[in-house]
Amino acid sequence: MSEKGKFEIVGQPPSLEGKVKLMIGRDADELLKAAEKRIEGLKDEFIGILKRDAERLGDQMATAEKDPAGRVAAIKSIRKMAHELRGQGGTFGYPLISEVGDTLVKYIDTVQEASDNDLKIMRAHVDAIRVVQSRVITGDGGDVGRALLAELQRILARAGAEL
Amino acid sequence: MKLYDLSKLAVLLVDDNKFMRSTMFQVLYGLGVRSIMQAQDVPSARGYLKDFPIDVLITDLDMGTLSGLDLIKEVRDAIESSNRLVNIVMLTGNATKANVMRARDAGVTEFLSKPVSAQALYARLVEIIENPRQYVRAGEYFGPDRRRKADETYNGPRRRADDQE
Repeated sequence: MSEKGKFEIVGQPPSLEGKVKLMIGRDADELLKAAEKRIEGLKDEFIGILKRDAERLGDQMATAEKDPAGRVAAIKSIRKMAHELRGQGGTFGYPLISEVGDTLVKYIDTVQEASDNDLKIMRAHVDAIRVVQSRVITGDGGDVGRALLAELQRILARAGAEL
Repeated sequence: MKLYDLSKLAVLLVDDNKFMRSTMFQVLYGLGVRSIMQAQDVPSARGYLKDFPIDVLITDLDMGTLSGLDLIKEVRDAIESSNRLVNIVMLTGNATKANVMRARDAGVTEFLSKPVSAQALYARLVEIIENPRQYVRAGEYFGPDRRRKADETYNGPRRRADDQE
């Protein structure tokens, strides 16, 4: 191990020359379109996953609210689903799912032991995801999307949450 | 953006979510990559890293028991491995400043936020191709130089130990 603070150049990364070839005079537009089209081919599968997870989020939220013994596991499950959805929503035309999922994960990460108010905030996020899914609110969602996000922001601000 | 033929690149994709792996596979395939290995966790990734030369490792951050950060540290610490200098792209839906700094300090080459797009992934690959960074050892750190580009116009203090010599 080198001396603490000592900076030493070790070498270059393996060269990718010979592995990749620059196609002179051509730009990547067509390639990117082809790749986006392949993503589009997975959209139906994503919509199925979103429908399934929206239902499961509702079920787990109900467990968290009604069953103190199952609350920790239910919230953990909600966090996992919200984490996956935030990573996928925007790719498939559902940026609101990514946005709401991201806020939900970040909020859960601030919670030590969920209070009634914490559960209400989680519930608001879960319901928002369910609305976006059931009403097929794609893109920014226009007025409905803005209203949903504004309502969540209002709830978070009232709780003094800093995410 | 310039067009590159990526068909000869070998990419290892590590993500615990099957659908996310499918999505990334389709994007990579659409970008022309033909050698795409997939692993669902760090132990599975170890097998590929041991047996195959990898050009680009794309790993999720949040994967349960062993994270993408653990994987990066393993790769960079594996002195005998031919893949120690592999280009690593960290993929995460939780792109907080703290996570970006942790990934950088573990030895990541590029950072890619979820949700992904073909353009964003292609841009990271092009960055790796066009601007390879030298590997450095600095104290406990081993990995790509965390100073991306030398700024010829920089006139401020020079803080590296070597700069003082």
